[in-house]
Amino acid sequence: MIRLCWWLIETMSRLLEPNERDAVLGDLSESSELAGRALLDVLGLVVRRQLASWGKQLLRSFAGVAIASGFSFYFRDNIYGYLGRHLAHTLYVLSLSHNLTYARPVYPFGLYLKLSIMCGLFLASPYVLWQFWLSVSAGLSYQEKRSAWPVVALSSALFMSGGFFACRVALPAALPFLISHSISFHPAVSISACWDTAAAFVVGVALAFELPGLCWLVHLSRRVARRQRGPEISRH
Amino acid sequence: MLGEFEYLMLSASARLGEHAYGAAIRREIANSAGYRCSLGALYTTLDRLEKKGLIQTWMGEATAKRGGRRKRMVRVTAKGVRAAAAFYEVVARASRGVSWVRKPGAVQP
Repeated sequence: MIRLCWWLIETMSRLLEPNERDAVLGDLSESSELAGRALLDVLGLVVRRQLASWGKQLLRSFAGVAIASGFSFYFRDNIYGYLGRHLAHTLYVLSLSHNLTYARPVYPFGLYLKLSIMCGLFLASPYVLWQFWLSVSAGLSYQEKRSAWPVVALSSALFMSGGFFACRVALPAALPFLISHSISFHPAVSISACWDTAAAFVVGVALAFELPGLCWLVHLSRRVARRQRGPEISRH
Repeated sequence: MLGEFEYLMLSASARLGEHAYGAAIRREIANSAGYRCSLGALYTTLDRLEKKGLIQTWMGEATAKRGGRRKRMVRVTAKGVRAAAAFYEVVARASRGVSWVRKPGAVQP
């Protein structure tokens, strides 16, 4: 357990700037800190550092998603109607009641809220990626910036097309398959269970579509991080 | 105006003099103030103080005691000394005539 803690400390400390990493690990070995406590300390420092570097962009991304979600909430009935069409059809084909049940009064409102947030995520995805790009681009050369532009645009397009594909093709195909296995059971399909699955499915497929673009952006951010610690690498 | 923790850090660094670095400052704060300061609080506060020009930091030599790792050495600047003195003055002035300030030689209840 202690070994695992120290391994985690070593691994996590790689996220720190090299000089700081040296000082922190040296301080820990000098003060003979307990492994668990040292792990929490390093975790705290790493989180503070990451939040400091991503904080503004993260905050803007959250604000973007929140505004887009608010906008989507206004059109909640249309969104539910569009997404629920396939579900209602599938339930009808399988001779199941398409009147979904709910156990608590808050669930219908919660469902609309979740759907709004999901749509907000899709609407705000270009802005979120733009913010991610801003946090990386400061450390890139002119050529790299130019080559990354299409990737940001393509990632947003892929994310949205992934969601569209999930709604129009994958979800209508997957639902009959999933529900057909429950024929021998008594169905009591609740709105929260049903829509949680659908929402996770749509966002999951959209993220899978976006993976190439995300990989490229992560690669760029790693390149920037390597460049920042350039002199240290050449020292070893 | 300094924060309480910033003042503790400046005091600890000034007391340690040329031996002021991360682990030593933590020990000093634990001894003087009686509470454990986390690494996160220590290093982010060091950065903040350096940005304000109240301290100077640089990487020192590696020692075997530290597993061959280097220290982040700290020195309080003249501006830092002035800021700490001003903070102390404010606390001393604000505490004058307050019942919880112990008079020299008085027995604690």
